[in-house]
Amino acid sequence: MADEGQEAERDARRVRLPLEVLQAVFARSRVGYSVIELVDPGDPETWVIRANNGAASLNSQVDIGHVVGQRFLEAFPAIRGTPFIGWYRDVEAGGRSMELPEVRYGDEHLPDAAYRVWLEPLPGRCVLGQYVNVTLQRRAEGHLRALNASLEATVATRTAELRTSRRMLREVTYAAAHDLQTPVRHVLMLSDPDDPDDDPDTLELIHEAARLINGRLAGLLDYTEAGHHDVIATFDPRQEVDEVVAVVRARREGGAGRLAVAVELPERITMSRRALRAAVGQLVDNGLKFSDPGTQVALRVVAAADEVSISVADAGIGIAPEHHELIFQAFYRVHGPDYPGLGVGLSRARVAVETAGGSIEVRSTPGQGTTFDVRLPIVSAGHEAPPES
Amino acid sequence: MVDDDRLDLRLARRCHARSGIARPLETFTDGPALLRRLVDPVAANPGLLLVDVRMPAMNGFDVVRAVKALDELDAATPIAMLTTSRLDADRERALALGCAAYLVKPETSSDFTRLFAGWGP
Repeated sequence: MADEGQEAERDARRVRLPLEVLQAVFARSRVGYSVIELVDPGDPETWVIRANNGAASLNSQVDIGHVVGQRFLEAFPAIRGTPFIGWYRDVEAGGRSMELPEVRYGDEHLPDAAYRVWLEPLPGRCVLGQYVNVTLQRRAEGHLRALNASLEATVATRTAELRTSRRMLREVTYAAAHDLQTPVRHVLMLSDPDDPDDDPDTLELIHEAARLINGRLAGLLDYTEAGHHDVIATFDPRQEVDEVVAVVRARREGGAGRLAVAVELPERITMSRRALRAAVGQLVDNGLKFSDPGTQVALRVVAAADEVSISVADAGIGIAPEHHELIFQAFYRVHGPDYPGLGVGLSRARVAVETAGGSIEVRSTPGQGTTFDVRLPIVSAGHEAPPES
Repeated sequence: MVDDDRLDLRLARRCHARSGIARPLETFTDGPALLRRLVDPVAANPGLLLVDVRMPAMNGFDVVRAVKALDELDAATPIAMLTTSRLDADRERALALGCAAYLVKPETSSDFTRLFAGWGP
């Protein structure tokens, strides 16, 4: 009983609020409001717009003065065929407010618009509608979602890169520690004051171990350097390849003419100079070192649209499949003491190539030779000289 | 003893000589050389095999597997890993392959000499 009394009292207060007052309030609002009188709630054709504010007309691209007093469906023909009519009816019949999710009209009145709509029953068979255009908000949310997705992808890529470099660091550290530990242990044993011996070779052996330590440290420094300061430069790649090849030839070949070089490169290229030099130099050096003096080593350097392909093929002793990954680790020597070297060449080439965003692969059959394939990204290439960067 | 490090082998020979034990020490720089020696019908069976872990081409584990598969070798011949690797994974792998011991290479000559002296007369 008390509830009914309060309800009646509230209705009475509402009735006293004239539409002109509502209209005056609406006119100052940035939210779209309108009052629709449902003359016959069952028949949308009879509904009349009793009030409308500037924001509503702005949102719906309709002249405010034009629509007040008009039939609802005549002022907003696009409403036909939308769920709106049913919602108005439900609000009037149910006597309660409801907030509706955003509504998309056809494109006659509201092109590309998303609205959040809230309907409230008013006395006298009227419904107050509140419209907020959330198009910009939805667009911003969509943009934000896209940004978040790309951010997550970037984080995932970076995390994977960090994991790889941490794994490489661990492997290199282990290999370097192991390879340094052995000669250090030899020096310790040979020079132990509590354990003197009269072997005349002792001093020479200590010297040899120290020389080995020195060489391995130099190799390690060299390897460390390879991953740093990757600078993209614009240069003549043919000249660069010629220079590197000349250095390796002088060291390994002694004019034997074993190296067959095929180069198809533009006059100017913008890419990692260090990676190009390291890949060509280390792979050619490796090929000449691990193949018979009577056989040929073929170097091929070709530029495509966005990458330089380098291949080095030898007819040498080959590498068994289980060593294909290991050969790129620092200080790893497949062929033992018969082939001198520190085992840093290939790992150095890989670090330089991967730092520049390229890849290096090996194909080999033991006894039949080995081919290394390198791909290095090109930033730009051309036959006209761009300014030196 | 098989080890790719020639200086390690040389030090081993020296410590072996100092230990004064009568059994001779034969050294090999890679697994295949050791295997060729083991299948040699005129050579005596070894009393103990010392195998390095980190060797190129054929590592210590490969050597142990290959040795175990040989008919020519007495199955009771003990094999010990002798290595600088202190990795638990290497130790477990060696013991799983049936190695009698996993020894970290001594850091003094006297320890190395004791290693041989402890082997027998």
